[in-house]
Amino acid sequence: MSVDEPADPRATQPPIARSGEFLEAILDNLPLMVFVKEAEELRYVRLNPAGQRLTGLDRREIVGKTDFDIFPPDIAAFFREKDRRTLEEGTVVDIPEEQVQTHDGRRWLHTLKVPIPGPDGRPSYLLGISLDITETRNAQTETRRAKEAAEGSNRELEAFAYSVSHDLRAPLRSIAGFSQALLEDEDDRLSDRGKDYLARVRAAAQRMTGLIDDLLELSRVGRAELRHAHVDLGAIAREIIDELRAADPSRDVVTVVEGDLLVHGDPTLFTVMLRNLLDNAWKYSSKRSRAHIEVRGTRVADQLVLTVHDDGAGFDTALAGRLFSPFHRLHSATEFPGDGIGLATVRRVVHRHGGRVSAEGSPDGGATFTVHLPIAGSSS
Amino acid sequence: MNPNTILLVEDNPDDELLTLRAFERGGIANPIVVVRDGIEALDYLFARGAFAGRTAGAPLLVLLDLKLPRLGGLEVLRAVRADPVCGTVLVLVLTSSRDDSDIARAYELGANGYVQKPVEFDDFVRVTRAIGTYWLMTNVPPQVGP
Ligand SMILES: Nc1ncnc2c1ncn2[C@@H]1O[C@H](COP(=O)(O)OP(=O)(O)OP(=O)(O)O)[C@@H](O)[C@H]1O
Ligand SMILES: [Mg+2]
Repeated sequence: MSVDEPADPRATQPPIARSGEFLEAILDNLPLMVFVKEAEELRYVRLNPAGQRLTGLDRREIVGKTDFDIFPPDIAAFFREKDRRTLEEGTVVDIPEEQVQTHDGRRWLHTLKVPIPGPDGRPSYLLGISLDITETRNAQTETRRAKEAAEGSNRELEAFAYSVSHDLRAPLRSIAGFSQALLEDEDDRLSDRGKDYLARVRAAAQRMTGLIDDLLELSRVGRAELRHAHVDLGAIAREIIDELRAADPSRDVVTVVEGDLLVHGDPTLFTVMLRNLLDNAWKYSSKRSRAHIEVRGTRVADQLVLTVHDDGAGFDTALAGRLFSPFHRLHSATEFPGDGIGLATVRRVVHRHGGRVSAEGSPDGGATFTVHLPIAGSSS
Repeated sequence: MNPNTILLVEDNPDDELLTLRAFERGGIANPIVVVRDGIEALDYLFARGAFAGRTAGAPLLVLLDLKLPRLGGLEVLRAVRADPVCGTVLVLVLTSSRDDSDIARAYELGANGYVQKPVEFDDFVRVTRAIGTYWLMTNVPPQVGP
Protein backbone atom coordinates (compact mmCIF):
# COMPACT_ATOMS: atom_id res chain seq x y z
CA MET A 1 0.00 0.00 0.00
CA SER A 2 1.29 3.41 -0.87
CA VAL A 3 1.72 6.27 1.55
CA ASP A 4 0.44 8.90 -0.83
CA GLU A 5 -3.06 7.48 -0.85
CA PRO A 6 -4.06 8.27 2.73
CA ALA A 7 -7.47 9.43 1.55
CA ASP A 8 -8.57 5.92 0.81
CA PRO A 9 -10.54 4.96 3.91
CA ARG A 10 -9.93 1.28 3.24
CA ALA A 11 -6.25 1.76 3.82
CA THR A 12 -6.60 3.32 7.25
CA GLN A 13 -9.35 1.08 8.56
CA PRO A 14 -8.65 -2.36 9.86
CA PRO A 15 -9.79 -5.12 7.47
CA ILE A 16 -12.57 -6.18 9.77
CA ALA A 17 -14.40 -2.98 9.02
CA ARG A 18 -14.64 -3.81 5.34
CA SER A 19 -17.86 -5.55 6.07
CA GLY A 20 -18.67 -6.69 2.56
CA GLU A 21 -15.47 -8.65 2.12
CA PHE A 22 -15.57 -9.78 5.68
CA LEU A 23 -19.04 -11.24 5.27
CA GLU A 24 -18.07 -12.88 2.00
CA ALA A 25 -15.15 -14.52 3.71
CA ILE A 26 -17.36 -15.83 6.45
CA LEU A 27 -19.98 -17.14 4.06
CA ASP A 28 -17.41 -18.83 1.86
CA ASN A 29 -15.66 -20.58 4.69
CA LEU A 30 -18.46 -21.34 7.05
CA PRO A 31 -18.98 -25.12 7.35
CA LEU A 32 -22.75 -24.50 7.36
CA MET A 33 -24.99 -24.24 4.34
CA VAL A 34 -26.21 -20.67 3.90
CA PHE A 35 -28.78 -19.71 1.28
CA VAL A 36 -30.82 -16.65 0.44
CA LYS A 37 -34.15 -16.49 -1.39
CA GLU A 38 -36.07 -13.41 -2.41
CA ALA A 39 -39.29 -13.13 -0.48
CA GLU A 40 -41.61 -12.52 -3.42
CA GLU A 41 -41.48 -15.78 -5.37
CA LEU A 42 -38.96 -17.58 -3.17
CA ARG A 43 -36.36 -17.86 -5.91
CA TYR A 44 -32.76 -18.54 -4.89
CA VAL A 45 -30.45 -15.56 -4.83
CA ARG A 46 -27.41 -17.27 -3.43
CA LEU A 47 -25.92 -20.40 -1.97
CA ASN A 48 -22.56 -20.56 -0.22
CA PRO A 49 -19.81 -23.12 -1.05
CA ALA A 50 -20.68 -25.34 1.91
CA GLY A 51 -24.23 -25.48 0.56
CA GLN A 52 -22.93 -26.42 -2.89
CA ARG A 53 -20.83 -29.18 -1.45
CA LEU A 54 -23.70 -30.49 0.61
CA THR A 55 -26.35 -30.51 -2.11
CA GLY A 56 -24.11 -31.00 -5.12
CA LEU A 57 -25.84 -28.06 -6.81
CA ASP A 58 -23.98 -25.31 -8.64
CA ARG A 59 -24.67 -21.83 -7.23
CA ARG A 60 -24.97 -20.35 -10.69
CA GLU A 61 -27.38 -23.06 -11.72
CA ILE A 62 -29.85 -22.48 -8.95
CA VAL A 63 -30.01 -18.70 -8.90
CA GLY A 64 -33.49 -17.70 -10.06
CA LYS A 65 -34.95 -21.13 -9.40
CA THR A 66 -37.46 -22.17 -6.77
CA ASP A 67 -37.37 -25.28 -4.62
CA PHE A 68 -39.92 -26.89 -6.94
CA ASP A 69 -37.50 -26.50 -9.86
CA ILE A 70 -34.74 -28.23 -7.91
CA PHE A 71 -36.08 -30.75 -5.40
CA PRO A 72 -38.62 -33.58 -5.42
CA PRO A 73 -42.16 -32.28 -4.73
CA ASP A 74 -42.42 -33.55 -1.12
CA ILE A 75 -39.21 -31.83 -0.10
CA ALA A 76 -39.98 -28.64 -2.01
CA ALA A 77 -43.43 -28.46 -0.41
CA PHE A 78 -41.93 -28.87 3.05
CA PHE A 79 -39.41 -26.08 2.41
CA ARG A 80 -42.10 -23.86 0.97
CA GLU A 81 -44.33 -24.27 3.96
CA LYS A 82 -41.52 -23.28 6.37
CA ASP A 83 -40.53 -20.34 4.15
CA ARG A 84 -44.10 -19.03 4.19
CA ARG A 85 -44.27 -19.34 7.93
CA THR A 86 -41.00 -17.50 8.40
CA LEU A 87 -42.10 -14.65 6.19
CA GLU A 88 -45.61 -14.44 7.60
CA GLU A 89 -44.56 -14.52 11.22
CA GLY A 90 -41.57 -12.31 10.60
CA THR A 91 -39.51 -14.25 13.13
CA VAL A 92 -36.78 -16.86 13.09
CA VAL A 93 -38.13 -20.35 12.55
CA ASP A 94 -36.14 -23.26 13.96
CA ILE A 95 -36.54 -26.54 12.08
CA PRO A 96 -34.72 -29.16 14.17
CA GLU A 97 -35.02 -31.87 11.51
CA GLU A 98 -35.73 -31.69 7.83
CA GLN A 99 -34.65 -33.69 4.83
CA VAL A 100 -32.96 -32.46 1.69
CA GLN A 101 -32.24 -34.23 -1.57
CA THR A 102 -28.51 -34.21 -2.35
CA HIS A 103 -26.30 -35.76 -4.98
CA ASP A 104 -25.78 -38.73 -2.66
CA GLY A 105 -29.26 -39.32 -1.37
CA ARG A 106 -31.35 -37.64 1.24
CA ARG A 107 -29.68 -36.01 4.19
CA TRP A 108 -30.94 -34.54 7.43
CA LEU A 109 -30.58 -30.85 8.26
CA HIS A 110 -31.13 -28.67 11.25
CA THR A 111 -32.18 -25.38 9.74
CA LEU A 112 -32.85 -21.84 10.88
CA LYS A 113 -34.88 -19.60 8.58
CA VAL A 114 -34.61 -15.87 9.11
CA PRO A 115 -36.72 -13.14 7.47
CA ILE A 116 -34.61 -10.20 6.26
CA PRO A 117 -36.58 -6.97 6.13
CA GLY A 118 -36.33 -4.56 3.20
CA PRO A 119 -36.53 -0.73 3.39
CA ASP A 120 -40.30 -0.85 3.94
CA GLY A 121 -39.88 -3.11 6.98
CA ARG A 122 -41.55 -6.06 5.27
CA PRO A 123 -39.35 -9.11 4.63
CA SER A 124 -37.68 -8.88 1.29
CA TYR A 125 -35.30 -11.83 1.64
CA LEU A 126 -35.26 -15.12 3.43
CA LEU A 127 -31.97 -16.30 4.90
CA GLY A 128 -31.45 -19.97 5.63
CA ILE A 129 -28.69 -21.58 7.68
CA SER A 130 -28.45 -25.37 7.75
CA LEU A 131 -26.30 -27.81 9.65
CA ASP A 132 -25.96 -31.35 8.28
CA ILE A 133 -27.01 -33.60 11.18
CA THR A 134 -27.24 -36.85 9.23
CA GLU A 135 -24.33 -38.57 10.97
CA THR A 136 -25.34 -37.59 14.50
CA ARG A 137 -28.91 -38.54 13.77
CA ASN A 138 -27.92 -41.93 12.38
CA ALA A 139 -25.68 -42.58 15.34
CA GLN A 140 -28.49 -41.69 17.73
CA THR A 141 -30.95 -43.92 15.91
CA GLU A 142 -28.39 -46.69 15.96
CA THR A 143 -27.79 -46.33 19.70
CA ARG A 144 -31.49 -46.16 20.42
CA ARG A 145 -32.17 -49.21 18.30
CA ALA A 146 -29.36 -51.16 19.97
CA LYS A 147 -30.61 -50.14 23.39
CA GLU A 148 -34.17 -51.13 22.56
CA ALA A 149 -33.03 -54.45 21.16
CA ALA A 150 -30.96 -55.15 24.25
CA GLU A 151 -33.81 -54.19 26.54
CA GLY A 152 -36.24 -56.23 24.51
CA SER A 153 -34.15 -59.38 24.56
CA ASN A 154 -33.44 -58.85 28.24
CA ARG A 155 -37.12 -58.65 29.02
CA GLU A 156 -37.78 -61.65 26.85
CA LEU A 157 -35.11 -63.60 28.67
CA GLU A 158 -36.52 -62.60 32.05
CA ALA A 159 -40.00 -63.60 30.98
CA PHE A 160 -38.66 -66.87 29.64
CA ALA A 161 -36.77 -67.63 32.85
CA TYR A 162 -39.89 -66.79 34.76
CA SER A 163 -42.25 -69.05 32.86
CA VAL A 164 -39.74 -71.88 32.76
CA SER A 165 -39.28 -71.71 36.50
CA HIS A 166 -43.02 -71.94 36.91
CA ASP A 167 -43.42 -74.84 34.59
CA LEU A 168 -40.63 -76.66 36.41
CA ARG A 169 -42.57 -76.53 39.65
CA ALA A 170 -45.41 -78.76 38.46
CA PRO A 171 -43.30 -81.88 37.76
CA LEU A 172 -41.35 -81.22 40.95
CA ARG A 173 -44.57 -81.27 42.88
CA SER A 174 -45.25 -84.71 41.44
CA ILE A 175 -41.75 -85.97 42.25
CA ALA A 176 -41.87 -84.68 45.82
CA GLY A 177 -45.50 -85.61 46.40
CA PHE A 178 -45.47 -89.15 45.06
CA SER A 179 -42.14 -90.13 46.59
CA GLN A 180 -43.56 -89.08 49.92
CA ALA A 181 -46.81 -90.94 49.19
CA LEU A 182 -44.74 -94.03 48.49
CA LEU A 183 -42.86 -93.62 51.76
CA GLU A 184 -46.12 -93.26 53.64
CA ASP A 185 -48.29 -95.85 51.94
CA GLU A 186 -45.75 -98.57 51.24
CA ASP A 187 -43.67 -98.13 54.36
CA ASP A 188 -43.84 -101.79 55.41
CA ARG A 189 -42.93 -103.08 51.98
CA LEU A 190 -39.91 -100.85 51.38
CA SER A 191 -36.44 -101.97 52.37
CA ASP A 192 -34.30 -99.51 54.30
CA ARG A 193 -32.29 -98.98 51.20
CA GLY A 194 -35.44 -98.24 49.20
CA LYS A 195 -36.49 -95.73 51.80
CA ASP A 196 -33.08 -94.10 51.68
CA TYR A 197 -33.33 -93.75 47.90
CA LEU A 198 -36.73 -92.20 48.18
CA ALA A 199 -35.52 -89.82 50.85
CA ARG A 200 -32.79 -88.73 48.46
CA VAL A 201 -35.32 -88.15 45.70
CA ARG A 202 -37.36 -85.99 48.02
CA ALA A 203 -34.33 -84.04 49.19
CA ALA A 204 -33.29 -83.42 45.60
CA ALA A 205 -36.76 -82.16 44.75
CA GLN A 206 -36.54 -79.84 47.70
CA ARG A 207 -33.17 -78.50 46.60
CA MET A 208 -34.49 -77.90 43.15
CA THR A 209 -37.47 -76.04 44.57
CA GLY A 210 -35.05 -73.75 46.37
CA LEU A 211 -33.11 -73.25 43.18
CA ILE A 212 -36.22 -72.36 41.23
CA ASP A 213 -37.38 -69.95 43.90
CA ASP A 214 -33.99 -68.23 43.81
CA LEU A 215 -34.09 -68.01 40.03
CA LEU A 216 -37.58 -66.58 40.19
CA GLU A 217 -36.40 -63.94 42.59
CA LEU A 218 -33.44 -63.09 40.38
CA SER A 219 -35.74 -62.70 37.42
CA ARG A 220 -38.24 -60.68 39.43
CA VAL A 221 -35.54 -58.30 40.58
CA GLY A 222 -34.65 -57.71 36.94
CA ARG A 223 -38.19 -57.14 35.77
CA ALA A 224 -39.88 -55.42 38.68
CA GLU A 225 -40.92 -51.82 38.23
CA LEU A 226 -38.73 -49.73 40.57
CA ARG A 227 -40.56 -47.99 43.37
CA HIS A 228 -39.09 -44.87 44.91
CA ALA A 229 -39.17 -44.28 48.61
CA HIS A 230 -36.97 -43.21 51.49
CA VAL A 231 -35.55 -46.39 52.89
CA ASP A 232 -33.79 -47.02 56.20
CA LEU A 233 -31.42 -49.86 55.44
CA GLY A 234 -30.53 -50.06 59.13
CA ALA A 235 -34.10 -50.86 60.16
CA ILE A 236 -34.37 -53.52 57.46
CA ALA A 237 -31.01 -55.04 58.47
CA ARG A 238 -32.10 -55.26 62.11
CA GLU A 239 -35.33 -56.98 61.16
CA ILE A 240 -33.50 -59.53 59.04
CA ILE A 241 -30.99 -60.19 61.81
CA ASP A 242 -33.86 -60.76 64.24
CA GLU A 243 -35.34 -63.29 61.83
CA LEU A 244 -32.00 -65.05 61.42
CA ARG A 245 -31.60 -65.25 65.19
CA ALA A 246 -35.11 -66.58 65.65
CA ALA A 247 -34.54 -69.27 63.04
CA ASP A 248 -31.21 -70.32 64.54
CA PRO A 249 -31.30 -69.52 68.27
CA SER A 250 -28.33 -71.73 69.17
CA ARG A 251 -25.86 -69.47 67.34
CA ASP A 252 -23.77 -66.96 69.25
CA VAL A 253 -23.48 -63.97 66.93
CA VAL A 254 -22.51 -60.44 67.95
CA THR A 255 -24.15 -57.99 65.54
CA VAL A 256 -23.63 -54.29 64.97
CA VAL A 257 -25.79 -52.07 62.78
CA GLU A 258 -24.69 -48.46 62.78
CA GLY A 259 -24.05 -45.30 60.80
CA ASP A 260 -25.99 -43.38 58.23
CA LEU A 261 -28.10 -45.94 56.41
CA LEU A 262 -30.78 -43.77 54.81
CA VAL A 263 -31.12 -43.99 51.08
CA HIS A 264 -33.66 -43.52 48.30
CA GLY A 265 -34.91 -46.46 46.24
CA ASP A 266 -37.09 -49.54 46.13
CA PRO A 267 -37.77 -50.92 49.63
CA THR A 268 -38.60 -54.45 48.45
CA LEU A 269 -35.47 -54.75 46.35
CA PHE A 270 -33.29 -53.34 49.12
CA THR A 271 -34.78 -55.92 51.46
CA VAL A 272 -33.90 -58.65 48.97
CA MET A 273 -30.37 -57.26 48.75
CA LEU A 274 -29.82 -57.11 52.52
CA ARG A 275 -31.41 -60.50 53.08
CA ASN A 276 -28.96 -62.12 50.67
CA LEU A 277 -25.94 -60.32 52.14
CA LEU A 278 -26.93 -61.10 55.72
CA ASP A 279 -27.93 -64.68 54.89
CA ASN A 280 -24.42 -65.13 53.58
CA ALA A 281 -22.76 -63.44 56.54
CA TRP A 282 -24.81 -65.65 58.85
CA LYS A 283 -24.19 -68.82 56.87
CA TYR A 284 -20.48 -68.44 56.16
CA SER A 285 -19.71 -67.52 59.77
CA SER A 286 -21.56 -70.52 61.16
CA LYS A 287 -18.38 -72.42 62.03
CA ARG A 288 -17.25 -69.73 64.46
CA SER A 289 -18.15 -70.44 68.06
CA ARG A 290 -18.78 -66.72 68.41
CA ALA A 291 -19.27 -64.85 65.15
CA HIS A 292 -19.38 -61.12 64.43
CA ILE A 293 -21.54 -59.47 61.79
CA GLU A 294 -21.38 -55.74 61.16
CA VAL A 295 -23.50 -53.52 58.96
CA ARG A 296 -22.22 -49.98 58.58
CA GLY A 297 -23.13 -46.98 56.48
CA THR A 298 -21.27 -43.79 55.66
CA ARG A 299 -22.02 -40.93 53.36
CA VAL A 300 -19.33 -40.15 50.81
CA ALA A 301 -20.33 -37.19 48.62
CA ASP A 302 -23.70 -38.15 47.09
CA GLN A 303 -23.19 -41.85 47.75
CA LEU A 304 -24.08 -44.15 50.58
CA VAL A 305 -21.32 -46.66 51.22
CA LEU A 306 -22.76 -49.72 52.89
CA THR A 307 -20.55 -52.50 54.20
CA VAL A 308 -21.65 -55.90 55.44
CA HIS A 309 -18.84 -57.64 57.24
CA ASP A 310 -18.51 -61.03 58.91
CA ASP A 311 -15.58 -62.91 60.43
CA GLY A 312 -16.46 -66.27 58.94
CA ALA A 313 -14.92 -68.61 56.39
CA GLY A 314 -14.07 -65.84 53.92
CA PHE A 315 -12.55 -66.40 50.49
CA ASP A 316 -9.62 -65.37 48.38
CA THR A 317 -10.25 -61.81 47.15
CA ALA A 318 -8.62 -62.69 43.83
CA LEU A 319 -11.63 -64.89 43.10
CA ALA A 320 -14.20 -62.36 44.26
CA GLY A 321 -15.12 -61.09 40.81
CA ARG A 322 -16.92 -64.29 39.90
CA LEU A 323 -19.05 -64.37 43.03
CA PHE A 324 -21.63 -62.07 41.51
CA SER A 325 -22.37 -64.29 38.51
CA PRO A 326 -25.24 -66.75 38.92
CA PHE A 327 -24.23 -70.24 40.11
CA HIS A 328 -20.68 -69.28 40.97
CA ARG A 329 -19.70 -70.60 44.37
CA LEU A 330 -16.44 -70.65 46.24
CA HIS A 331 -17.46 -73.22 48.82
CA SER A 332 -18.64 -76.78 48.33
CA ALA A 333 -22.21 -77.72 49.06
CA THR A 334 -21.11 -80.10 51.80
CA GLU A 335 -19.17 -77.31 53.51
CA PHE A 336 -21.89 -74.68 53.12
CA PRO A 337 -25.13 -75.38 51.25
CA GLY A 338 -26.31 -72.88 48.65
CA ASP A 339 -27.22 -72.30 45.02
CA GLY A 340 -24.92 -69.45 44.14
CA ILE A 341 -27.67 -67.08 43.09
CA GLY A 342 -27.85 -64.77 46.10
CA LEU A 343 -25.05 -62.43 45.11
CA ALA A 344 -26.20 -62.28 41.48
CA THR A 345 -29.48 -60.98 42.85
CA VAL A 346 -27.64 -58.49 45.06
CA ARG A 347 -25.70 -57.16 42.12
CA ARG A 348 -28.85 -56.78 40.09
CA VAL A 349 -30.57 -54.77 42.81
CA VAL A 350 -27.52 -52.53 43.16
CA HIS A 351 -27.17 -51.97 39.41
CA ARG A 352 -30.82 -51.15 39.05
CA HIS A 353 -30.27 -48.38 41.56
CA GLY A 354 -27.26 -47.06 39.69
CA GLY A 355 -24.74 -48.33 42.22
CA ARG A 356 -21.92 -50.84 42.39
CA VAL A 357 -20.91 -53.67 44.69
CA SER A 358 -17.60 -55.33 45.46
CA ALA A 359 -16.30 -58.06 47.74
CA GLU A 360 -13.19 -58.54 49.79
CA GLY A 361 -12.11 -61.44 51.91
CA SER A 362 -9.38 -63.76 52.99
CA PRO A 363 -9.58 -67.50 53.51
CA ASP A 364 -10.72 -68.05 57.08
CA GLY A 365 -10.42 -64.32 57.69
CA GLY A 366 -13.97 -63.23 57.00
CA ALA A 367 -15.60 -61.27 54.20
CA THR A 368 -16.67 -57.69 53.56
CA PHE A 369 -19.19 -56.69 50.92
CA THR A 370 -19.23 -53.02 49.96
CA VAL A 371 -22.17 -51.42 48.19
CA HIS A 372 -22.12 -47.89 46.77
CA LEU A 373 -25.57 -46.43 46.22
CA PRO A 374 -26.53 -42.97 44.99
CA ILE A 375 -28.37 -41.47 47.96
CA ALA A 376 -30.88 -39.69 45.76
CA GLY A 377 -31.69 -42.94 43.95
CA SER A 378 -31.59 -43.48 40.23
CA SER A 379 -34.26 -43.84 37.60
CA SER A 380 -33.14 -46.97 35.75
CA MET B 1 -76.22 -81.38 45.01
CA ASN B 2 -74.58 -81.52 48.38
CA PRO B 3 -74.17 -77.87 49.46
CA ASN B 4 -70.78 -78.68 50.95
CA THR B 5 -69.34 -79.72 47.62
CA ILE B 6 -65.92 -78.42 46.63
CA LEU B 7 -65.33 -77.89 42.93
CA LEU B 8 -61.71 -78.54 41.98
CA VAL B 9 -60.74 -77.10 38.60
CA GLU B 10 -57.48 -78.82 37.73
CA ASP B 11 -56.12 -80.16 34.45
CA ASN B 12 -52.97 -81.86 35.72
CA PRO B 13 -53.89 -85.41 36.84
CA ASP B 14 -50.89 -85.56 39.20
CA ASP B 15 -51.93 -82.35 40.88
CA GLU B 16 -55.48 -83.65 41.08
CA LEU B 17 -54.34 -86.81 42.83
CA LEU B 18 -52.04 -84.90 45.15
CA THR B 19 -54.71 -82.34 45.97
CA LEU B 20 -57.22 -85.06 46.79
CA ARG B 21 -54.63 -86.79 48.92
CA ALA B 22 -53.75 -83.56 50.68
CA PHE B 23 -57.41 -82.96 51.40
CA GLU B 24 -57.74 -86.41 52.85
CA ARG B 25 -54.64 -85.86 54.99
CA GLY B 26 -55.89 -82.43 55.92
CA GLY B 27 -59.07 -84.03 57.24
CA ILE B 28 -61.42 -82.44 54.74
CA ALA B 29 -64.33 -84.75 54.11
CA ASN B 30 -66.43 -82.57 51.81
CA PRO B 31 -67.52 -84.14 48.54
CA ILE B 32 -65.17 -83.06 45.76
CA VAL B 33 -66.09 -82.69 42.10
CA VAL B 34 -63.17 -82.45 39.69
CA VAL B 35 -63.39 -80.72 36.31
CA ARG B 36 -60.44 -80.46 33.96
CA ASP B 37 -60.73 -77.21 32.07
CA GLY B 38 -62.35 -73.79 32.16
CA ILE B 39 -65.30 -74.70 29.95
CA GLU B 40 -66.14 -77.74 32.07
CA ALA B 41 -65.91 -75.56 35.17
CA LEU B 42 -68.45 -73.12 33.78
CA ASP B 43 -70.66 -75.99 32.56
CA TYR B 44 -70.71 -77.32 36.09
CA LEU B 45 -71.31 -73.98 37.76
CA PHE B 46 -74.03 -72.96 35.32
CA ALA B 47 -75.50 -76.52 35.28
CA ARG B 48 -75.30 -76.83 31.54
CA GLY B 49 -73.60 -79.01 28.91
CA ALA B 50 -72.46 -82.27 30.47
CA PHE B 51 -73.85 -81.04 33.79
CA ALA B 52 -77.23 -79.91 32.44
CA GLY B 53 -79.03 -82.42 34.61
CA ARG B 54 -77.37 -81.77 37.95
CA THR B 55 -79.44 -80.52 40.81
CA ALA B 56 -79.28 -76.80 41.26
CA GLY B 57 -77.03 -75.02 43.72
CA ALA B 58 -73.53 -73.67 43.79
CA PRO B 59 -70.63 -75.46 45.45
CA LEU B 60 -69.37 -74.26 48.81
CA LEU B 61 -65.97 -73.50 47.38
CA VAL B 62 -64.27 -73.43 44.00
CA LEU B 63 -60.54 -74.20 43.86
CA LEU B 64 -59.39 -72.72 40.61
CA ASP B 65 -56.14 -73.30 38.76
CA LEU B 66 -55.11 -70.48 36.43
CA LYS B 67 -53.36 -72.37 33.64
CA LEU B 68 -56.19 -74.38 32.14
CA PRO B 69 -56.90 -75.73 28.67
CA ARG B 70 -59.64 -74.17 26.52
CA LEU B 71 -60.56 -71.41 28.96
CA GLY B 72 -58.11 -70.00 31.51
CA GLY B 73 -58.82 -69.60 35.19
CA LEU B 74 -59.03 -65.82 35.07
CA GLU B 75 -61.69 -66.01 32.34
CA VAL B 76 -63.61 -68.54 34.39
CA LEU B 77 -63.47 -66.16 37.33
CA ARG B 78 -64.70 -63.28 35.21
CA ALA B 79 -67.62 -65.33 33.87
CA VAL B 80 -68.58 -66.56 37.34
CA ARG B 81 -68.54 -63.07 38.85
CA ALA B 82 -70.71 -61.77 36.02
CA ASP B 83 -73.36 -64.41 36.66
CA PRO B 84 -76.40 -63.30 38.64
CA VAL B 85 -76.94 -66.72 40.19
CA CYS B 86 -73.54 -67.99 41.30
CA GLY B 87 -71.70 -64.68 41.13
CA THR B 88 -70.91 -64.71 44.85
CA VAL B 89 -69.59 -68.26 45.14
CA LEU B 90 -66.30 -68.54 47.07
CA VAL B 91 -63.37 -68.86 44.70
CA LEU B 92 -59.83 -69.64 45.84
CA VAL B 93 -57.16 -69.52 43.20
CA LEU B 94 -54.86 -72.51 43.71
CA THR B 95 -52.01 -72.39 41.24
CA SER B 96 -48.30 -72.78 40.55
CA SER B 97 -47.86 -69.19 39.53
CA ARG B 98 -46.86 -66.44 41.87
CA ASP B 99 -46.70 -63.86 39.15
CA ASP B 100 -47.51 -60.49 40.67
CA SER B 101 -49.71 -59.62 37.73
CA ASP B 102 -51.64 -62.91 38.05
CA ILE B 103 -52.25 -62.20 41.72
CA ALA B 104 -53.37 -58.66 41.00
CA ARG B 105 -55.66 -59.76 38.17
CA ALA B 106 -57.21 -62.53 40.27
CA TYR B 107 -58.14 -60.14 43.07
CA GLU B 108 -59.31 -57.53 40.60
CA LEU B 109 -61.67 -60.10 39.12
CA GLY B 110 -62.99 -60.94 42.56
CA ALA B 111 -61.07 -63.97 43.82
CA ASN B 112 -61.61 -64.55 47.56
CA GLY B 113 -58.07 -65.80 48.02
CA TYR B 114 -54.88 -66.79 46.25
CA VAL B 115 -52.85 -69.82 47.25
CA GLN B 116 -49.66 -71.03 45.62
CA LYS B 117 -49.46 -74.80 45.38
CA PRO B 118 -46.51 -75.82 47.52
CA VAL B 119 -44.00 -78.28 46.09
CA GLU B 120 -43.47 -80.03 49.41
CA PHE B 121 -46.38 -82.34 50.13
CA ASP B 122 -46.43 -81.62 53.87
CA ASP B 123 -46.81 -77.95 53.06
CA PHE B 124 -49.63 -78.84 50.73
CA VAL B 125 -51.39 -80.69 53.55
CA ARG B 126 -50.89 -77.67 55.79
CA VAL B 127 -52.42 -75.43 53.14
CA THR B 128 -55.46 -77.64 52.70
CA ARG B 129 -55.88 -77.80 56.46
CA ALA B 130 -55.82 -74.02 56.56
CA ILE B 131 -58.37 -73.88 53.77
CA GLY B 132 -60.47 -76.32 55.73
CA THR B 133 -60.36 -74.45 59.01
CA TYR B 134 -60.84 -71.01 57.55
CA TRP B 135 -62.91 -71.29 54.41
CA LEU B 136 -64.94 -74.38 55.26
CA MET B 137 -65.43 -74.03 58.99
CA THR B 138 -64.79 -70.49 60.24
CA ASN B 139 -65.96 -68.44 57.33
CA VAL B 140 -69.70 -67.91 56.85
CA PRO B 141 -70.26 -68.37 53.12
CA PRO B 142 -72.59 -66.19 51.05
CA GLN B 143 -76.09 -67.45 50.30
CA VAL B 144 -75.70 -68.44 46.70
CA GLY B 145 -78.42 -69.24 44.20
CA PRO B 146 -82.13 -68.73 44.01
N1 LIG C 1 -20.01 -63.73 53.66
C1 LIG C 1 -19.37 -64.63 52.89
N2 LIG C 1 -18.27 -65.27 53.34
C2 LIG C 1 -17.62 -66.16 52.58
N3 LIG C 1 -18.00 -66.50 51.34
C3 LIG C 1 -19.08 -65.90 50.82
C4 LIG C 1 -19.81 -64.95 51.56
N4 LIG C 1 -20.84 -64.52 50.78
C5 LIG C 1 -20.73 -65.21 49.64
N5 LIG C 1 -19.67 -66.03 49.66
C6 LIG C 1 -19.23 -66.91 48.57
O1 LIG C 1 -19.85 -66.47 47.38
C7 LIG C 1 -20.59 -67.52 46.79
C8 LIG C 1 -21.83 -66.94 46.12
O2 LIG C 1 -22.72 -66.42 47.09
P1 LIG C 1 -24.25 -66.46 46.82
O3 LIG C 1 -24.95 -65.77 47.93
O4 LIG C 1 -24.45 -65.95 45.44
O5 LIG C 1 -24.60 -67.99 46.79
P2 LIG C 1 -24.84 -69.03 47.94
O6 LIG C 1 -24.84 -68.37 49.28
O7 LIG C 1 -23.88 -70.12 47.71
O8 LIG C 1 -26.27 -69.58 47.61
P3 LIG C 1 -27.68 -68.83 47.68
O9 LIG C 1 -28.10 -68.69 46.27
O10 LIG C 1 -28.52 -69.77 48.45
O11 LIG C 1 -27.47 -67.52 48.35
C9 LIG C 1 -20.91 -68.45 47.91
O12 LIG C 1 -21.07 -69.76 47.43
C10 LIG C 1 -19.66 -68.34 48.78
O13 LIG C 1 -18.65 -69.19 48.29
MG1 LIG D 1 -26.19 -66.69 49.55
